[in-house]
Amino acid sequence: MKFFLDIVLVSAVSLGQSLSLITFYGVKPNFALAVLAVLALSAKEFWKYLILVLASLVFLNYTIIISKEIFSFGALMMLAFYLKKYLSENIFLNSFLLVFALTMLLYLLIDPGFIFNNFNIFILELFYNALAGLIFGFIYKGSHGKE
Amino acid sequence: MIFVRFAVVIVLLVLLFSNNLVFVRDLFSPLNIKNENEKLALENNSLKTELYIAENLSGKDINEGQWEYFSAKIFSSYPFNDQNLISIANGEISGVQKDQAVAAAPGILLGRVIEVNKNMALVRTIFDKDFVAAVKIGENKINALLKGGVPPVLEMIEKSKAVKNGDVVYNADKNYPYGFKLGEIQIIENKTADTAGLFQKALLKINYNLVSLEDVLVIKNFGPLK
Repeated sequence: MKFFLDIVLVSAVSLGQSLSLITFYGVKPNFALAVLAVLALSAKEFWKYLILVLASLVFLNYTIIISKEIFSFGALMMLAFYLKKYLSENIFLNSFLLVFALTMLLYLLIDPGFIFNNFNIFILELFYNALAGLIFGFIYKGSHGKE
Repeated sequence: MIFVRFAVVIVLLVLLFSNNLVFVRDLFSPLNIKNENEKLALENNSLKTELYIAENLSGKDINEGQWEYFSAKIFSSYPFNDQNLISIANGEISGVQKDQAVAAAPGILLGRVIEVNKNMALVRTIFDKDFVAAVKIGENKINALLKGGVPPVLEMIEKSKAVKNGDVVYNADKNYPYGFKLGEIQIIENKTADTAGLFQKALLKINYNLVSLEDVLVIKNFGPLK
């Protein structure tokens, strides 16, 4: 049941993002990245996490052939699954650090110029994503502790 | 804890499909219109656009004046912040070609087709940082350069030329149909640091909401001048 709800959650945030439903000051927060990063921290099984990432990619993809940007996003999300073992036990700190690092890595991979040419937009997105990561981290703290 | 997860999923789904999330953006937007009269005027201005959107003419040919349009459904948009692209559900099979201009409604320029597949095409909108077009402002046809972004910015407006809020901005770039409206002037600032005090800068106010657009119009009988 939990896994099914996680799929619905990831699909819903990814669909919302691909439709640009939520923007603050013209900046789209990357909720898919924030949710997947938190789920990576609590995921025990690789295959289940892979299904979550694939579900996200299906809804995020905006072209027929998977684009370089979407592929990079998927690869980074899978990297998050392995990065967690280098993090501390604190899920809040982990969520914040992981989302922060993944957002930076994503733009370094897909469009490094964006970071420097649109620094204010980049910083705002970094802030929104990290905040979303903290909030989702808080929501999932209890279930993570029980699993 | 499963109930918390369930509640989060339900709330997200309700918000996602209720179309009410637009208010969140409006609430935090720096361009939020506080003045009620201004709001009404804006609504009035965009009625034509909304009327077109409501008619849902997807997949149909439309003729307006000298222009022939093909209506195409938007099915997705680029999900990150470094670009502002939309995917439309028509491609080569429907006659969509690379570099064709795209309108949000008849006479209102939205962007250009940058990539075409058999059944879909990718459109770079005026909100993309790489969108650039020569434009003219108001009745006096003052020259300016439109640079894409959220919101798009008008640069290189000669300081000696008088422009005011509400002046209509229209296309004068050879890559798009001449005279197509882009929006209106809003917030004029006299930039001195980067232009030696020679030019003014302004933001472009758009009278429609890209998120609420369901269809766009591909302009069939216009090809960019080489």
